[in-house]
Amino acid sequence: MANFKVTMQLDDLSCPSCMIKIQKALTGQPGLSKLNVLFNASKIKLVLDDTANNIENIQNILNHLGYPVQKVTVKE
Amino acid sequence: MSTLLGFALLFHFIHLSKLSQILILLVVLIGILPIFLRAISALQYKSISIELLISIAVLGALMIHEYDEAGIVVWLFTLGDWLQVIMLRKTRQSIRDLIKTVPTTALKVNTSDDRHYEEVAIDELVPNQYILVKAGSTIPVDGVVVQGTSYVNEASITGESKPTHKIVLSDVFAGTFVNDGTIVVKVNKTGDETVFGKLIELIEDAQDSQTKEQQFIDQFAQYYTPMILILGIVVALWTKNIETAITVLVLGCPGALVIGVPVSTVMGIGIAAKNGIITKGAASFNILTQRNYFIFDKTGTLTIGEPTVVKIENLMGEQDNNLKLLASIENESNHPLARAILKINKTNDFYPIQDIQTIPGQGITAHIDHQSILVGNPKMMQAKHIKIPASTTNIADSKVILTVNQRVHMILTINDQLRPNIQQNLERIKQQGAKKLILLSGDNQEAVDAIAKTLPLDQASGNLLPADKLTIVKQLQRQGESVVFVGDGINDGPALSQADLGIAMGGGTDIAIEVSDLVLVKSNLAQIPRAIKLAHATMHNMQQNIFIALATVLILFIGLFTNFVDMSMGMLVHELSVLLVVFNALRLNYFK
Repeated sequence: MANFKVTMQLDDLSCPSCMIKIQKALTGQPGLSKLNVLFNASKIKLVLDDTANNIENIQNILNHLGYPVQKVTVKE
Repeated sequence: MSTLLGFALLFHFIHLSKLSQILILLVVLIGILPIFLRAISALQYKSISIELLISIAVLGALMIHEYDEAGIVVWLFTLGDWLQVIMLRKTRQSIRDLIKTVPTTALKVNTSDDRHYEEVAIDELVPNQYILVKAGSTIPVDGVVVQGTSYVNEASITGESKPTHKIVLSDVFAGTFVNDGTIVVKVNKTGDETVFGKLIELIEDAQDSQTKEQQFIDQFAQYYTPMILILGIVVALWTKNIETAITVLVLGCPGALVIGVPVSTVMGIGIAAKNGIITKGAASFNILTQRNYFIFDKTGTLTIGEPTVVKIENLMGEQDNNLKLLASIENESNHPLARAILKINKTNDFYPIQDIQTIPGQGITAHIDHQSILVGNPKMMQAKHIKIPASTTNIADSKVILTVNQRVHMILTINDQLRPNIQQNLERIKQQGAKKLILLSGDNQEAVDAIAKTLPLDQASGNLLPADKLTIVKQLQRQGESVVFVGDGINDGPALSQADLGIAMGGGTDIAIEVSDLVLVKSNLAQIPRAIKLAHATMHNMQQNIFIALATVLILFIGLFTNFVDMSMGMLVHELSVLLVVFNALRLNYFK
C-alpha cells in the first residue's frame, strides 16, 4: 500500500495542551501510521496509506476540535 | 466582552446592581461558550483540559451566585488566551520571516528565449519549465541558468555575501538574490524540495524537538490537570466550601508550566537560525553547555578547503607569459590546484595545446608552440631529473613548478588557507569551557603539525581514515567524555553521527545537513562560540521559566490557604505568570 506524507498547517496552536488533545484525537484513526504534532510550527505531519478519504476524516476531526486546517500538502 | 465588563463594573459602582448583574451574566455567557465547547471536544477524546477546569469553576461560581467572580475569570482567561496567541506568533516570527524571503510567485516563460512572461504561483510550476528572474529579485526555485548571466548573492544559503557569478549552466537556489542581470532558469525543484525549503523544514522540526526538561513537563502536565480536578473535588467534599474548591481549579491551571519551556527553546532555535546556526533539536543546546571535547577536521573545517596561490617565484622568462602557459595547461585539468592557478590568471586567452598527458600524482606534460612544457610537483621534477632551487616556503604547502624545455621558469606555492580569525575562535571555545581541542585529519602529519603550531590545539593527529576518526570518538565516549565533532560533512559522516553533537560546516550540501545535529550554514567557525553562548542563554531562560511557573503555583496555593487569594485574583496572577514566561522568552530576542 502506498504511503503518503501529509503536512497540515493549522491555525495558530496556542497552548501545548492542544498537542495532547490532537494526539489523543487522531491516534488510531484509519490509515494513519505516523503522527507528529509540531506545536511551534503549528503543523501536524502524518503518514497515511490512502489520501482523499483519510485527509478529509482528519480535517473533520481537527475542525471539530477547533483547529481549522489552513493548508494541506501531500507527498508520495 | 471587555466593554460589557467595563459597563457592568461601572453600573456596579453607581449601585445599578441589577443592570450590572445582567451585563456580567452576558459576559459569562459569551465568554464561556467557546471555552466550554473546547472542554467538551477534548473530553470526547478522553483529555482533561484547562478549559474543563475553567468551565467547572465558572459554573460553580454561577451556582453560588458569585457572578462578578465568574465574569472576571472568563474575561481574564479569554484575554490571556488572546495575548498568548499574539505573543506566540511573535516567537514564531523569526521562522516566518525566513520563509517569506522566498517569493510565492514566479514569472513563467515558454522557452529560454521568450521574454513574454506570465506570473504564476510557485505551486503550479513543475520541473523543466522556464522562469524569468529579473535583477533585484529573489530566485523562487532551485534550477539551472539557461539564458543570461548575473551576480547572485547566496548569503541565505551559504552565508557567502560576496556575489557569485552565474552563467549558463550554473546552478541557482531558491531564496538567493539576483543583484544584477536578468536570467532564465530551468526549474529543478520547488517549495519544500529546494535546499532552502529543506533548511526551513529542519528548523521547524527542531523547534518542536524536546529537551529532557520538556519531556518531563509534558508527562507531568498530563497527570497534573486531572490531579487538580480531583484535588478540587476533595476540597469541596472536605471543606463543604464550593468557593474554595473552584478557586483551587482556577489556581491550578498549568499554563505557565506547560508553555514556559517550549517558548524558550523556540526562541533559542529561531535566534540561532537567524544567526546561520541551524539546530535539529533543542537537545543540542543542552550538550553545548557541558564541558566537551571538541574535535575538528582540517580541510574545509579549520581551513577554507579551497587552495589559493600564496607565492609566485618567477625564475625565468616574462611572468605574464609564464602564467599564461600555466593557465593554458591547467584549463584542461579538474585538479583542485588547477582552480587556484586559473584564479590568478587575469585573461581568458589561452595557447593552443598539443600532446597533453596527465601523470597521476605528479602533473601534466604538453607541447605549446613546439616547446616542451612540464607542470607538476617536486616529485615529477625529480623523476624527470630537473633540479629545482631550494625554497623557503613551508613543507606543508603544495608546490607547482613550470618548466619550459627542461628549465624551471616558475614556482607557485599553493596552500589551503586557515579560516579567518580561527585562533580567536578556538581560544573562545576554550574559554567557554571546552575540555580539549583536538585536530584529526586525513592529511599527512607534516601538514597537520604545520597548522597545529599556529593554533591553540591540545592534540593534532594526521594520516587518519574516516574510520579512525570514528574510533577516536568512540574511545573518548567510552571514557565517559562528551564529544563535539566539527567537520564538513562528507567523509566525516561516521564521526559526525557518532559524536554527542555533530556540527557540520554548511555550504548547503545535503549530506552535511543530514548527518549532523547542528549546521553552520555560513561555514563560519565564529558561529561555534556564538552557539555555545546562545545555548547557555537559552538553557538559563528555560530554567527561569520553570522557576516562575512553579513559584506561581506555590504562591497561589499558599495565598489560597491563608485567605489572601480569591478566584479572580488567582486567575489574574495565573494569566500574568503565563505572560511573564512568554515575555521572558522574548528577552532572548536581544541576544547579542
